[in-house]
Amino acid sequence: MRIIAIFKRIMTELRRDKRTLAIVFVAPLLILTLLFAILQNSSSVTARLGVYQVDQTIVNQLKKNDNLHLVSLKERKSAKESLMQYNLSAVITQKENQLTVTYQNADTSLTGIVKADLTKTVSGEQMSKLKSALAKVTKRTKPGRAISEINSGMTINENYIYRKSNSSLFISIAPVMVGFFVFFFVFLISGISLLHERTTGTLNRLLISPVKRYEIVSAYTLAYGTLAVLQTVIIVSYVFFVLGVQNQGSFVLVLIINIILALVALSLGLLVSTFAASEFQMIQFIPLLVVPQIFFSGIFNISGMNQIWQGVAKIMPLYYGDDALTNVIKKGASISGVWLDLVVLIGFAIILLVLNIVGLKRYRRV
Amino acid sequence: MEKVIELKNVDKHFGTNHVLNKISLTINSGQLVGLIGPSGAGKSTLIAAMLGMLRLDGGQVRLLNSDMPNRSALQNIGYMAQNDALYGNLTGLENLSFFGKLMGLSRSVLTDKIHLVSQTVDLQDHLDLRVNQYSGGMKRRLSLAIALLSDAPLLILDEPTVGIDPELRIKIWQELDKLHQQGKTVLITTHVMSEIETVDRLLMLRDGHIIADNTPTFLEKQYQVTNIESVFIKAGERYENNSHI
Ligand SMILES: Nc1ncnc2c1ncn2[C@@H]1O[C@H](COP(=O)(O)OP(=O)(O)OP(=O)(O)O)[C@@H](O)[C@H]1O
Ligand SMILES: [Mg+2]
Repeated sequence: MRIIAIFKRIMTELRRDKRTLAIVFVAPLLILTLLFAILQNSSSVTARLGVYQVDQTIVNQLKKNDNLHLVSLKERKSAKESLMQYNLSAVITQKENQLTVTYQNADTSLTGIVKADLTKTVSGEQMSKLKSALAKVTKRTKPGRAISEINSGMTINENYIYRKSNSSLFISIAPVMVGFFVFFFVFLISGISLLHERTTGTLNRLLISPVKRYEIVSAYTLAYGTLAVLQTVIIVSYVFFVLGVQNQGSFVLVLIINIILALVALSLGLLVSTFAASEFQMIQFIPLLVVPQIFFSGIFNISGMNQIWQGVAKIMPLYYGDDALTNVIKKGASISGVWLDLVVLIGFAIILLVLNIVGLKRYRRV
Repeated sequence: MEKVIELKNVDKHFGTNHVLNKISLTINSGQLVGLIGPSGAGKSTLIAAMLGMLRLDGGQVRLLNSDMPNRSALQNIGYMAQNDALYGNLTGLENLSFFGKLMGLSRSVLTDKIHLVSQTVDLQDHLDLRVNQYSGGMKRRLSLAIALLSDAPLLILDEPTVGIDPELRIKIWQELDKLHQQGKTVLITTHVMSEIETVDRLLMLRDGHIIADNTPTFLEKQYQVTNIESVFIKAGERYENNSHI
């Protein structure tokens, strides 16, 4: 009953705080879109592209791309063999209006280069066809024929040797980002909200009532848990359905991992807020507690680090969250593949929540 | 007479500042008690000690027959803090019903009580306004309304009449007198000496000690003055002189 009262109160306050809501729900989408734009094309490297029986016009168009090195293949071989033999990133073959591309896809940025250039070339080809068709229309006024020429554009058929997904640098760090945003915002907002309650004296006032300490912590967990669920659904849906990252695993499992991660962030935020005297001091904990977690969370490969640093990674909640998210999104792991990560995360959350309940004893000892 | 508040040798330092110096005090049921003292004397600290919200350096507190700190004893206390601990983003009504629910009032009782207390503090027309948009006095009145909400047998009010106009102040005191007549115990702090002439018992806190504890008329006689304001000054002077000897 009291939990519900506090829960409802926090939700009402949140609902009226329009700017915080905008930040929580819109800012991650903006940043993800920016990252998407930046990381989609990496233009400094060149990709080796094999062509076999492809129209000379298309080959000439492809040659115009500085970041492609074209290799003409003479013998008929399986794509896999050609890729190996000539150290190629992709092989293209043509059968009438159908191009078949086989990506080697071990280095996802190379795949991205070929894919971008190819799309550009083919659409350029179609544009010129469209133009000439339009010219014919205006000259001969035979619309039927022109339209059939427009429609006879190229189609591209794609295959992958490694991993059956389209990958880019963005896609490889998307799972990390999804986990990070949920962690970061829930940490900050729940922490600041409890801090605000402390500095305005309402926490003290709350405790001069028969409310139990665990009821306060539970209500906060419930309220910010709800916020985290909403935020997770929005971010994850955006990444999967708008930015086109393919999820190899279950959507629901991704949500569950994020929600558990949010629970850790929430309890950490609440706990840390008791050591901050102002909102500004709360911000000061970000470089200390949040930023290092990004470094250890899978953007960089930590398996080459020395043992001590690997140990450091293992005390960071985001390390487990991202391990789980990466396994599900990129490798299609099911719950049996990530249960250990989830158990560790739940362990973090429980310990932190208990510390919060005990921590409230500073204000009222019972 | 039932003891409602009982302090034994309550002691509290903040660093070198000895705010409460072994204070012993008993307040019986049905008393209307005024607590006065210079700013910074420790009135709010003494109240925090009574409520069990303070880690004492020594001594015991019993409140309504429970040793403090005790969570369930808080059920029977209507408390008004010196600072307005209100939720600015919520309306007056939402604040009232939130604190009412915390005190465990059922929905039906709550509606009636909110109606009643908001009239007592003359806020019935402003309940749908966000507290952010309240004036200082309106916030005080809302805090008082929250303290009155649960119909508790013990009311502890820390400067309830600060920033409240004379007309409304009289109305609030009429309400307090009414509650007193109903047999409730009331402890109130204030800096307005004129309003406290009518209490049953006046406590004066200074330098960590209770330097005066009697009825207002007795104290006026003792110091040969005609009002409490003069008692406050004389008692202070006499205390300072004695402590310098
Ligand atoms: N948390 C604290 N830490 C350190 N000192 C404190 C703390 N709370 C109160 N004090 C000190 O204790 C003394 C008494 O404070 P208190 O608030 O009880 O005074 P008061 O009698 O209520 O004053 P006022 O009439 O101005 O409300 C003051 O000197 C104050 O500086
Ligand atoms: Mg005070």
